[in-house]
Amino acid sequence: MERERILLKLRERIVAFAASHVQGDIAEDLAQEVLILLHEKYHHVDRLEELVPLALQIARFKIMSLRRKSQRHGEYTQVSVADIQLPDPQADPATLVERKLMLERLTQSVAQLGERCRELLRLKLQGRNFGEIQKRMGAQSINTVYTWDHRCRQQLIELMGGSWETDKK
Amino acid sequence: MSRDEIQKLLGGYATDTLSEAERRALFAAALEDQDLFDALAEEQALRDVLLDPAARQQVIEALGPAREPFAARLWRGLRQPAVLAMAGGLAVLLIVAGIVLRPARHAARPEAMVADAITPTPPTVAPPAAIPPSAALRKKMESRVVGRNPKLPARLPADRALATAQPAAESAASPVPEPVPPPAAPVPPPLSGGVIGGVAGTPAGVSEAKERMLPATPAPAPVLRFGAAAGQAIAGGRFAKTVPKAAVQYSLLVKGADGAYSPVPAGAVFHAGDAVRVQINPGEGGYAYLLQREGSGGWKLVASQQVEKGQRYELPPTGGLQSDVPARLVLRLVLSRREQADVGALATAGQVTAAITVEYR
Repeated sequence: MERERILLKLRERIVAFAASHVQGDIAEDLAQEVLILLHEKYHHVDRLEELVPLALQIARFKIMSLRRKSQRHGEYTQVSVADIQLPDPQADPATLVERKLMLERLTQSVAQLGERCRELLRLKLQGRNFGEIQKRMGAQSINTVYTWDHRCRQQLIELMGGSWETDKK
Repeated sequence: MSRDEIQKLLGGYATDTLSEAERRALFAAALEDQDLFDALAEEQALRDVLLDPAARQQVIEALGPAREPFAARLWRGLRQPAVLAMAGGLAVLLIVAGIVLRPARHAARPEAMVADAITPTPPTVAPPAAIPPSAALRKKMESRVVGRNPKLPARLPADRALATAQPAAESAASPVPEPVPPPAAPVPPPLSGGVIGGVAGTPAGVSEAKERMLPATPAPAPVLRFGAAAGQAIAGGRFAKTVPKAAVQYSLLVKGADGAYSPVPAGAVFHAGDAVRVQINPGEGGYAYLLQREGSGGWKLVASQQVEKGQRYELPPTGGLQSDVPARLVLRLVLSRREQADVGALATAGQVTAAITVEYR
């Protein structure tokens, strides 16, 4: 698939995805910003397997940035001027906190998984692909491993409250 | 890959588990499917966390210790002290059981005489040629060692069998038809060494094998025959025309170190110097004669005894048959209702009740 065609498809998907998280016109702008970044900074990336995760990561950062910006502007919570926090010069502390909270929830949730799911997730985190996991766990086919992983993922999401992130809106 | 199958690849995105082909399939499908794209975008949050090696290690630790492979778990389980103790105990139990049961199994194999109820058959057909069994038949009959033939209908201990044996005087006393004139009486080779058992009133001229093959017909007085060698012992017999024979059971006794004579088991081998007696239990009263063949081919009377029904007698009553060198003593046991003056005639086939061979080695 050509890069231009991939980018067109990506724009369409990003707009639709962002629209469910931010306002419609902002979603358009967000998708446009992602594409501009891909075009200017990552113009050498043209493979599908690299472009999609890169676009997803940029889009997520943009959405998170928009949320924090709107919070700072008081769009959701009106606070007095005296209570407005001063900007921290440290690198993105909000992101660090969010990751820390999410990691805590994640560690608590994975401990509640069944033995097979925990073993499967452990192997995945150790960097093994599904083919290796199949041999390691003695599954008859790789589709069996896909099914196990799908169910384990669903179970883990439920244990985490239905979403990976806490402040999903 | 179908859409459902691609959906299952979502779990591999955050952990970066997907192969190149799986990633390509997932992303291509996500570009065409908004739901899949949204799900993929949701996974990005988890992916961002797990991209940090420290965070990844923290999650791994939260998963607990890794599960060992099945073989390793099995081996670890088997090495538990309780399992080892149980396995050891079981092994000891099996060994003890094997040791205990083995002699018990041998002990349970009695050297029993075999009582075989057969029907006396009238000597209607007694071709002289049928009298001496063939070599193959002899071998077959000799192989039917006492207590080894499973087809025999009853088994009795040796002493009990002798004590409770039914006399068969009726068969011997029953009138017999005129026999075919006997040819030159070929005496069959008698059974060697330590034969236990005797013959009671079986009409001569009918071989053991032939008797056993006859169908069992109701008989007024079945004859109890002891020992597989019984048929051998009477081989060569003829119908007694003038001297009715009587039933008799016999066994061999050997003199022990204490001077007492005791029964010998089946298949016993006598050694030079052993003193041997023949113990008889006649089925009816009369006269018992024990003859021994001499080197010249003639017969000498070893012992004679007037006997009564159901009483036991030992022949010879004093002393015993003996040989100081390896030899084969060929004996004839005759039980007659009347006293016989012509002892030499007793050794003829028609008078013989049992042929006995005592072999010294």
